[in-house]
Amino acid sequence: MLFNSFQFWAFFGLVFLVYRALPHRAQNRLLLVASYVFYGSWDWRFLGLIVISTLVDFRVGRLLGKDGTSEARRKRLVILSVATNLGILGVFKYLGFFVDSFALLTQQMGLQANLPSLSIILPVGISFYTFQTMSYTLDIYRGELEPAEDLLDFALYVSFFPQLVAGPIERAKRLMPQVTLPRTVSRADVSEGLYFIIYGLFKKVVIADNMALIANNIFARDPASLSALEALLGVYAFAFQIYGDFHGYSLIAQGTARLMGFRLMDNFSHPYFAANPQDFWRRWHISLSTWLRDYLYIPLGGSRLGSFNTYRNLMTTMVLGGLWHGAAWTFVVWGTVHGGWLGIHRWLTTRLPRPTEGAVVGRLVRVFVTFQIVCVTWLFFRADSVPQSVAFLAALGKGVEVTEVVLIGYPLLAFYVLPMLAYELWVERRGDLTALTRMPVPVRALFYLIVLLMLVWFPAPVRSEFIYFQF
Amino acid sequence: MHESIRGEWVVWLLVVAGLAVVEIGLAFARPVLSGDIRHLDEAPQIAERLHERSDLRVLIGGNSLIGEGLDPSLLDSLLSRDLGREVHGAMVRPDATGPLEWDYLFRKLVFNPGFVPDVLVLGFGPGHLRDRPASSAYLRLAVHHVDGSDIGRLWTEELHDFESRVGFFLARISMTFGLRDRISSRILATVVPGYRDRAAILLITQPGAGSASAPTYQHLVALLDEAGRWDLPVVLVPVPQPAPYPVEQEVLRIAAARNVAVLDVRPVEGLSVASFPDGKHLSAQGRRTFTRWLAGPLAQSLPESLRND
Repeated sequence: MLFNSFQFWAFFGLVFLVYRALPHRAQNRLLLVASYVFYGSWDWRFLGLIVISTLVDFRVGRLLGKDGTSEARRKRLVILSVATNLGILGVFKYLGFFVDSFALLTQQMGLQANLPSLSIILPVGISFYTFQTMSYTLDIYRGELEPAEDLLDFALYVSFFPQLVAGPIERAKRLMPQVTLPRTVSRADVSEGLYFIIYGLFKKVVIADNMALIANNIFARDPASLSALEALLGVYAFAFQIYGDFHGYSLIAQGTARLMGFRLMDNFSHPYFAANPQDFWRRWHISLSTWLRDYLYIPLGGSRLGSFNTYRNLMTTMVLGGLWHGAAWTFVVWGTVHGGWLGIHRWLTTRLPRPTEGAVVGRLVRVFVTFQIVCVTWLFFRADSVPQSVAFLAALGKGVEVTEVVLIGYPLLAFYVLPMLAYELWVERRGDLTALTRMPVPVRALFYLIVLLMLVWFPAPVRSEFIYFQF
Repeated sequence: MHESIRGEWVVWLLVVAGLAVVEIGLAFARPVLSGDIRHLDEAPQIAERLHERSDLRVLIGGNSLIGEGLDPSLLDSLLSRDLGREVHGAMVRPDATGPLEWDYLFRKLVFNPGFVPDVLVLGFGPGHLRDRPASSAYLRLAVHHVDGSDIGRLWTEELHDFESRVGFFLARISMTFGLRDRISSRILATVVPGYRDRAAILLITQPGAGSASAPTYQHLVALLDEAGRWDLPVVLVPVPQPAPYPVEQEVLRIAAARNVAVLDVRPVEGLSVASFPDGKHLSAQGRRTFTRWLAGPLAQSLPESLRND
């Protein structure tokens, strides 16, 4: 049930109508059933994994919250929670990858390891809900959160359907109180919720799917046959595909949740206006980057243990962050490149003078350079293999040849992306992600009319699934 | 809550009003969007005019290949000469269509008492007679091809998924939705130089493109069977292309089983690659050459009862 399908909106409309008519407790039960139906529509067999994760973490949370539990037992309990979630993730997401990589390694060493080739189906959204539920037990262990009292409320926190399969990864500290306490829906909730939904659909249907058309065309070709302009077009198209796709999903999740009185976190804040890699990670997939910061980078020591350890922690966090996205070496390389870039940036900022605040040209240059580097890193993310991404890198250095694909691809990219960037620049300058909802009525109406017409008239001829579902 | 949300309604009322204005505007602007829409809008009158003729009525069907490939008035005069009786031909050739659309369109236009022509000539290109999923064509089916009485059949036999059913319904009630592909290509052709010529390049390597399983021909069978029920002789004509292509064996088998002539007159003397300026459709000169080349064999292939009335 994709967010950009009529089926989902029929489902959501039905749920919403019943939801509005129910009292708070019954609303929660309805949302839990709806969430399981939503997830079961992908593959009902994997509902069992969510239930296991829910039951283990609820029980661990209760035991952690009990007075008089010894520190050793508390440690064992939190290890049980982490092991269960990472175990699920390890088996269903990484086992095949590690087995295949080990077999390849032994083969290259001249040994013959008769390992079975595993083809385990990846349960949709597994990386999102396992990280979400792990943060619950970790926060209780740290004494930052009280355990949930009601299993069904906790089950709803784990499986809340708007953000179940692609985030944002919500912390229990934020979402659990919204589950357990009665919710109200204000005018701002309706206004912003509808804005999120419509702009999210626009980013997915108009931006991401049309950019996918260009990116898929180029990445399906032999990199050796590409001109530099074609390779660059593929990289730019993918950069806006993945941004539109993932931000679109996050916005629709926020919007649908908001109409039911839930406030999910902002997952993106105009990442392509970032002026350096650190700034980029403050703006891109914020729920993951803050999760990694709070549960990995800081526990590793963060920047408190001297230069070497800081760089090591940065690299470890980014490599694991890369691996979180997918069980493939391309993601490891992607994370490593980002880790290296963050390290270099950190090293430079300690030695170079800080850029002058308010210097427009300097900032424009930094944003431009940052965007180009981000785009190059997307090569590793999108490519089917490391050799393919290296071949694409090589293609970027080839001669400038204007081909038919270039002649159609760049104008199409400009047609779809430039108006969006202009609008987001306006939002960025106002410093308010929902600035449009505070505009006069005619301005909002005109914006919605244009966006709705774009949605109706400019869907791509081929519809794509959301990229982040596979993570 | 209800009081404070009321202000939001004003925004959405304005949006709905704007959509209504667009819808009304499209009712007037519809023919401007494409020549194909004008042609489809005129199709009932074309069928009506053909019906009013007392001479031999030849309906030429197909898509733009036959539309650009035959000269109807030249064909009329050549057939009249060969058959020894007056011939009137009319052409219904919506762009990018195949048996799926023709089946519904001809049911709507000609498979009615008194409207059945004397001969149906169907032109086609390589692979054009194969089935296509209705889910990929529901917009045009909804707007142009399907008669109200055929919606039930389309719904149960063709549109099996929720998405295409809702899409069909929306296209049926709204031109803003139903003409979306025409509007977008019109806008993109205006804004992006060379869009019409180059857009197809991007679709070539999309996932799933060209990976179809064995072709089926159920819509062709349905169309020919319906023609058979109305005792309408059908002639299938492969239209020349720059590169030669075979008529598929299954098409030959289906045609033979229904006593339908497949009139393959290729290669056509006088046609060359230069006769196809866009690589697909015949030039005006090429059209006349092909029409002259086809007329004689076409006259020969018609049933004896249609000659020298």
